Amino acid sequence: MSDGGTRWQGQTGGGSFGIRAVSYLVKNFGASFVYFFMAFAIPFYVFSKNGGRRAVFDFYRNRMGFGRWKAFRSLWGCYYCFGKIVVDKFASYGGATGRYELEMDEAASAVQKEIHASGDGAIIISAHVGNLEALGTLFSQHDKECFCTVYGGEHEEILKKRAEALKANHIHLIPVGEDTDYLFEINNALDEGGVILMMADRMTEGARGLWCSLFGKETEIPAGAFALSVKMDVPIYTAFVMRTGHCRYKVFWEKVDLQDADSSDKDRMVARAGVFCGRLEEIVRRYPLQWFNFYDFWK
Amino acid sequence: MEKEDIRKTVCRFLVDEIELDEDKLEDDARLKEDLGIDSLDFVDIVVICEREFGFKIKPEEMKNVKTLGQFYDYIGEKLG
Repeated sequence: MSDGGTRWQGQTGGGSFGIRAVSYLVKNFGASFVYFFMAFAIPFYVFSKNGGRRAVFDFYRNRMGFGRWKAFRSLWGCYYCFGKIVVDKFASYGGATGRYELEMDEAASAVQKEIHASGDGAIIISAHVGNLEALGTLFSQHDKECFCTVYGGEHEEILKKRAEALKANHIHLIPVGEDTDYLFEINNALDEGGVILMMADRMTEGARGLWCSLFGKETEIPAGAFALSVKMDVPIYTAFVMRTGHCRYKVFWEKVDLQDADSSDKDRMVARAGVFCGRLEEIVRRYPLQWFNFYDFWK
Repeated sequence: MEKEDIRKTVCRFLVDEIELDEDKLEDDARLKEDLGIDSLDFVDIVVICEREFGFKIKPEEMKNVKTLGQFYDYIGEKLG
């Protein structure tokens, strides 16, 4: 979680001790045990992360249009749901509960087949909702190499655990730093027919952005994924993996299919970003407790 | 390809695609600090180099390329 500022600060909260503790408990006592005790830790997070609490409450109140009481309940539900997903992730890292159970409808299955059958590169974009890491299960069953961009300043412990867990799934991490090395890695991966997985919702300091309407208000989202898709002429897909039960998730996968080859690069980028925001809004309205941007997203 | 041809091609795409001011395109202009080329501009540069000069930029080779003049030399060496 962030500390509730107006830009994503770039690190998952909890610190190394917290990460190790959750990892140990999940491995030795099981995920259900940790879910139960985690409920007692939620007030600590809700009350200690003041800015985050306010931002999440305002999101439910002003963007989702919930009444005061529903927004308050949703705030707690959101933190609890976030905790459960963190536990699911650690269960998956440790192999305590095996792989995630993923559910897909026919349209999403068709998109999955299209991506895996294609020899060309593709970009999959998502947001900080649900649990995108669960998508890795789908790549473990195919030879398609997947490259996931991650913030380079993230906790070393988190990056290490992710890298270990994802390696077997044909997923490689590309840390995004201040130099441009990661762009060359992305370019090479796309040229070799790989899939790039990117979060496309959070602006970081210095990133170039695109303005789009989300939940009825203009906000800036990072231009990177959309620029790469347009400049490198590769297809772009949206993917959201939403929690429906213990280690059970539903995959929402769609192509951003726009017939706009004659438009300018800028217009094509904005159009793709608009489709992404539309789909993000739709999925969050369906799973409102799985919105995990703990800062003022619209400032 | 002569260095002057490389210079003209690079300047053209920097002006047309990245919308840089032509007057700023001096040989000793630093790519990031003076020209303000950011990571997304580098995507353009990578793509355009492939299209115009037919080779792929390797990150390790770009480590020492800090100025526009060094970039022309780098392209010259790759084409040489």
